[in-house]
Amino acid sequence: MLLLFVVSALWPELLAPGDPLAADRGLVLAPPSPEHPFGTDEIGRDVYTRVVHGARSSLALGFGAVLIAVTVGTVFGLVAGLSRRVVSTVTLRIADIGAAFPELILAIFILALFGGGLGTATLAIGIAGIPSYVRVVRAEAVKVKASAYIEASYGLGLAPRAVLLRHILPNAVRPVLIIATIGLGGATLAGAALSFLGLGSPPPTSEWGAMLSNARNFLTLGWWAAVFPGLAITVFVISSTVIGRWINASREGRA
Amino acid sequence: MTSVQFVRRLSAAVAAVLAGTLVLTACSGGAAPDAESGGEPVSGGELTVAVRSEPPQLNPLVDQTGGAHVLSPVVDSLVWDNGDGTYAPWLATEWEVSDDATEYTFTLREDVTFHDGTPFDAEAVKTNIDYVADPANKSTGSVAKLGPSAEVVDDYTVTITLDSPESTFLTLIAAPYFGIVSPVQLTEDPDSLASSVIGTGPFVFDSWVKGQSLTYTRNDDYNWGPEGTHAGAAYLDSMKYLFLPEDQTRYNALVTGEADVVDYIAPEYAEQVAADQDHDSEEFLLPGVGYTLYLNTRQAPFDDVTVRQALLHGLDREGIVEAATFGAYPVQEYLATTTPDYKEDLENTITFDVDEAGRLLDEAGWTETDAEGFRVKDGERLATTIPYADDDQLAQRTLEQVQIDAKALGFDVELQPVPASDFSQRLYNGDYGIMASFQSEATGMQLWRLYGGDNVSDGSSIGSNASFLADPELDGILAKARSSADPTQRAEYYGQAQELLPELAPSVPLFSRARLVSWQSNVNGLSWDNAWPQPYLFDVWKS
Repeated sequence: MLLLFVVSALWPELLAPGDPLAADRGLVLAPPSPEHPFGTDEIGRDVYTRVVHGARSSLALGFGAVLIAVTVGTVFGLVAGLSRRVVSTVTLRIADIGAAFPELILAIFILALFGGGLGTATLAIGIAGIPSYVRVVRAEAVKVKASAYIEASYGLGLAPRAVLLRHILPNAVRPVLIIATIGLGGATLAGAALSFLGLGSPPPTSEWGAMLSNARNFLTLGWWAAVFPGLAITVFVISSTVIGRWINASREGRA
Repeated sequence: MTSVQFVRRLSAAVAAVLAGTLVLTACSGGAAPDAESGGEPVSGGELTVAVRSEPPQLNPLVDQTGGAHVLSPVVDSLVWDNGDGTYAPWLATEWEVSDDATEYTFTLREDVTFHDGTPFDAEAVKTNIDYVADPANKSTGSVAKLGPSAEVVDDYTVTITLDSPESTFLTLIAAPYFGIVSPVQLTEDPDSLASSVIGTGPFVFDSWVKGQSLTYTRNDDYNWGPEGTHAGAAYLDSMKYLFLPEDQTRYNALVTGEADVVDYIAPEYAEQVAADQDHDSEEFLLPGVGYTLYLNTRQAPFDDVTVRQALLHGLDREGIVEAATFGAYPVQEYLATTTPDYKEDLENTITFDVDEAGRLLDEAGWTETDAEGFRVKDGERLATTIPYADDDQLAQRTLEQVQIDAKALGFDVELQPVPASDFSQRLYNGDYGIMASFQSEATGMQLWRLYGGDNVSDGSSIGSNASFLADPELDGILAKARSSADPTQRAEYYGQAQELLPELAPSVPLFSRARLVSWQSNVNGLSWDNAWPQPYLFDVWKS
């Protein structure tokens, strides 16, 4: 299922050859038909084509945000875990302050400062996600630092930087990648939520949250315009979460 | 002259069954029976009215945005606009207009008092005029723009002199944004107008829960409704406006019975409401310049009149409006057909001609095309941006349709959703390629507000001329129209302006908005205020 989404995001033409912006003015809010399997939206565009093409911006938002959160979170997590007490405490307190805000609220706050758009929305969700990764990476780093093989590495005369890159980073990051897989769904959902609030991509970009937002005014007149992008979000979030849990389970089983 | 047009879509009139005794007001002897229901009006009850927008504050003399409509039950105006170019007495019993339309002398009623007990007199009117004329008070209305000054002739006679002539001044002051406010509140505690208002109207301000509702109670002393309405106080005990900005929520308030009257039913529900037997509806095609795309003539590419004309003729206005409004709103020329002084036999109408638009763009030098199919000149793409209020769903639909047609012309139009509060700021700064807005006023004078060279923002004052057009020929015609006290002559000049505008192409007019109001079948006596078209609720009673 997830594969289908990835294909939609990378090569939408394979699944929907039409133009997601092409509109037929005579067919506004037309119900599903063989020609338009998901019906048309309030502009007269094919909902199916837009849902498929929407995968790109929606997933780019999710992946981009998680990438930012993981990268920055890891760096600060390592800093907090490995550096002296003062630096560690300061970094952690900042992360705690960030974590005190619900992620979506923090993202909206950031967007209010810097303005909407797909790029800033990705950045905002990414930044909002950093604190949780800082905590996890730090905990792992502290654990790994105390382990015998790290002491052994030092004993073998490896430079601190080499120890960090070769031993601590790979070991500390592993659990983060699992959380990130599960977090992907959450970040995509947050992105859709921001677009729903009008803070994401401007029209006429096809993006699930934005499509849902526009279509919600026509629930009684054309349910299809809202239901299909909504389904796309739901199915994607569920499948990415399921895969994350599956990876997690298989790893624990092995350990 | 076009009289204001009522489009009635009434289901069969529902005979109100009046059970038991009729509770009549003290002065009900003079009450006109309601023609639609046939019943005798009864007093009592609370009317709940669901509206779209909330006023930012409660001073009718400052604010002129849509939310100000809800202030009308609290304030009265000097005259009542009959909608056909004539006026009826209200707080003024008679008036005289000078031949050059700069001096207006009003004789006032002597039996009127404000809700705070202050008597209404010439001094009160002067206080209101002075307040509006003072730039420090930032009144955005048309009256402020006219530079009015008032002189007290005697206790109940006042003369208002305008800096520049204005032949439609009576329409302007008939609207609730020149509703007379208590002089005591204006002079002693003007800040209190942010959250309460004292007028002479049939209802008294009670409470305002911001973001939710505004409540009024009956003014029992009221006995000065405009000519043609019932005598005495209002029938309703109280009125409550509910602020429901979401179109769907507002429509649902009608269906569930949460609201007695629902204002601004969105166009997508127009058909359902018309077919509905449980509710009565009426719509009013709002006069004025309608929903229009103002092209910023100060910036490229719209500094070139050829490009402006290309867009004017290259957009399928019929198709855009039909799709965006679900066929509920009509396409219009530079003035809505319901505007007084709209030219019926307009010769220079806007034609849709893609080939002509393409030829014009070629002529303007936009001959090459880039990889995405947009036109290019000297390495620059033919592009512009349209900011729009991000909560305005109709605007978004309309502009997305515009975007599609513009793309076919090789014109890259970018839509920028911005918070509604940002939107007005941009209007003032001229920070846009195209400004799309809806404006309504029941006078051809709106052409001057929107296209007159002296209404351009000049850094010190805020202008309403969103396209920054300053054309000497048009300015000359508009000045003549405004100084013509004779209605026929005035119509002639406004007609000339309407013929000239497609040549200057400062904007692309799209549609007139039909204000669709629906109400539960036990609500009677709803009529329209023509000066600033909105439901007039003084005669309303519930059976």
